[in-house]
Amino acid sequence: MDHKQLNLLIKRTMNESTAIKVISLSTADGFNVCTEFGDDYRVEKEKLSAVSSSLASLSNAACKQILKTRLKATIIESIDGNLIFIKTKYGKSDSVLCLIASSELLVGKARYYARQLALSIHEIAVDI
Amino acid sequence: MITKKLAFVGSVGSGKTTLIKNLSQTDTLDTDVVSSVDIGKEMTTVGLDYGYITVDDSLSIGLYGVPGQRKFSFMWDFVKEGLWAVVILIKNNSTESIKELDYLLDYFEITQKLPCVIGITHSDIVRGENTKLKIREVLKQRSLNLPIYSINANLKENAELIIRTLILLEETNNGS
Repeated sequence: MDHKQLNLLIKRTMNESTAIKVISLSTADGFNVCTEFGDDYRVEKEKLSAVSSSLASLSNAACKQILKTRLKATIIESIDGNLIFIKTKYGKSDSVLCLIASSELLVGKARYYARQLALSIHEIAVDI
Repeated sequence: MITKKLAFVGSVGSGKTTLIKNLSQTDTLDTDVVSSVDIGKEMTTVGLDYGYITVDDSLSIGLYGVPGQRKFSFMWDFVKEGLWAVVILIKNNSTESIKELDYLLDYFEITQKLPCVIGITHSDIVRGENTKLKIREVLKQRSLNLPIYSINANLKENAELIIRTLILLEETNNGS
């Protein structure tokens, strides 16, 4: 399937900062839809999709059962950088967006880029 | 009170989520999502199923169900630490599910000392009597002698039989 518009949006967000290392969209059940890497970073796409799906679903379950509310984002802060996971929709399909950035990019800024991209992906008219 | 950790493992659609829902005395943690590919059912577990039962004043059991697909094996690692017992579910007459048994026995390092029960599910839907024999063959090659039950994951009494068996196995292993 052609994901031209999706690729374009992801590349545009990648260009916002060299600190962004990976942006990946996966189906809610852990299949890779599209992944873009920064120049010097590689990770196994299939593994990233599986992790994205598990973490988003666990975070969602925690929000529902502990906080009695809906999930907005899952943020993992590491020594070298941050991982942001946001639930979105791509066409009719529940999906998870993952943005990985080095610590040069403030976590709030990374979250903003991920959120804006998730909203844009939701608006793409695609038949899946 | 001692809380023990029980894992439910097995291939996709073998009934892990259903069994945990039937056993748990609390609302289960549910991480099922709609499957984007045909796996023979609408929803699939991508995170973890979690439930909890209190057996008596001294024992409670945490029920952990892991996703069936191997790509989620990093979730299996979360559950693997400090296991008290394992339930392996096999879909009746499913070659794939029986093949997975070998892999799971290795992954979860099943020995005769670890309480473990094998449950054959979907026997009410799919005909075939060979599954038990094939499982026995796999176990024989490993010199394992584990209880094998045909169960209906929707029936609470079947689920409770598994728990009772695991407790008995532990008592037997401990010589009590």
